[in-house]
Amino acid sequence: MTMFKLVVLFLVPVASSALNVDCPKPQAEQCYGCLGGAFVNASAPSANCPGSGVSIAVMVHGSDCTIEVIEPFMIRCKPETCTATVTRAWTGVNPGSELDFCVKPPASSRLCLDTDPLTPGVQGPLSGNGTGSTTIETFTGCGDGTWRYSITAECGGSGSGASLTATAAVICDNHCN
Amino acid sequence: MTRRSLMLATAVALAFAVSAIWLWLAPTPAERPGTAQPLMESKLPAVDLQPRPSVQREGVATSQVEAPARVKSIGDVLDEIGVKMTPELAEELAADGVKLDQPVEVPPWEEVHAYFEQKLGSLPQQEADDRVAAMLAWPTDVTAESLTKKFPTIGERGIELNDLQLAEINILVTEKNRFIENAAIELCDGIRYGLQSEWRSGRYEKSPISTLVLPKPGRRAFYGTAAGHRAWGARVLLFSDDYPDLVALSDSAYRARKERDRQVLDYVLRQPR
Repeated sequence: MTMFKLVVLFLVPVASSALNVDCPKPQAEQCYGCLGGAFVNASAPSANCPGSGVSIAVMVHGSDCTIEVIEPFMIRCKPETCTATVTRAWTGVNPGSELDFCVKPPASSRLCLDTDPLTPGVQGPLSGNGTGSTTIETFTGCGDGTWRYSITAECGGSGSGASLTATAAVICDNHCN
Repeated sequence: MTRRSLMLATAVALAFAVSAIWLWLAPTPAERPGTAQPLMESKLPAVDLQPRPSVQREGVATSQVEAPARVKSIGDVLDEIGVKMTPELAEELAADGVKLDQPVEVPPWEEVHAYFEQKLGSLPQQEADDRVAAMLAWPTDVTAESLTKKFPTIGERGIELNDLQLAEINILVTEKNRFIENAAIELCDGIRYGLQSEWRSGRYEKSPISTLVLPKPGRRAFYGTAAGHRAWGARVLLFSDDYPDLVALSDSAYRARKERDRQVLDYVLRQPR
């Protein structure tokens, strides 16, 4: 047996045992990715907004894991983020009222800063005149918990207090768990 | 035992027997309107509404409000359709602006069906176009600025792309972009077909007031859409295991996109500063 073979025989188990435990399979080609999941809800507490409505649609795409060398002979599976495309649409909500596009990260209060949608030709902040929609692409880290994207709009005339809400939940789970 | 003790014992026994009979005859908390679940108490008089609007689950078309709608509180409406109000659900509803003591008149589903079918039973072309653009994730006008915005590494490395390099990048990405765009269009067509199929076969979920009261599915969906309109909420989910071809198509499009971006970055980082 040559010296080279001896070295290889020694290194293979060392490298395998040093693999990050996030993904249980020791071979690099068996490193798992992440699974994306979508969930949606909508609430319309009032019937006094006959011409009004909001809707939301979400498509979630999972991700692969890449192999990352963190030290000599030590590699790990590095999960990539899941990608979600969220479209929020509204019809006939109160003219001039501001539309809330909010995001609620896991274990945090909601942030309503998303008023600059990526849809070409639509700039934020948006007002609730007539009908419109906006689409954003967003990313969720693997195992980061559930992110919620929502649209809330006033309806039923100024001061009615009536509102419509639609929410999309995006989750990105580590496949190897 | 004295006569006085005997009378006292008899009185106690009688009182005990009367109490037991009274308790046995009295209605249970569940039978007493408004007391079983305090969160759903109504200040309005109890009104019988038959047939009741019920929650539709997994495409079972059981939810029809045929009687003229009458004003009730949201709490009463949810109570009547069998919603078990938990503190968590009450909190979720409150976050969506749902006040349980608020009066509401729920119109029959038939009155709102067409609206929901238009919103959830297909994929509007504008939304499809937006999704294709989002999946392509490539500037319509390829300039040094637009590429630097997409790839911040270009700016961080102080690389300034000239016209020749931009033209080379355009050539580099042409084939991949065509593939991604075609896959995205095909995916949107598939989603449109899926939504139409789910809707027409009744595999949608709806409920008065909010879909939050519906049971959560135990399956993973890759696409979901929901709408709220006139005291109704409804949603359609496309589950990954029902549409494996669409999931695979989405995978191939995102892999191609990743590969394209890696090729562009490789090219850019090879350029002299």
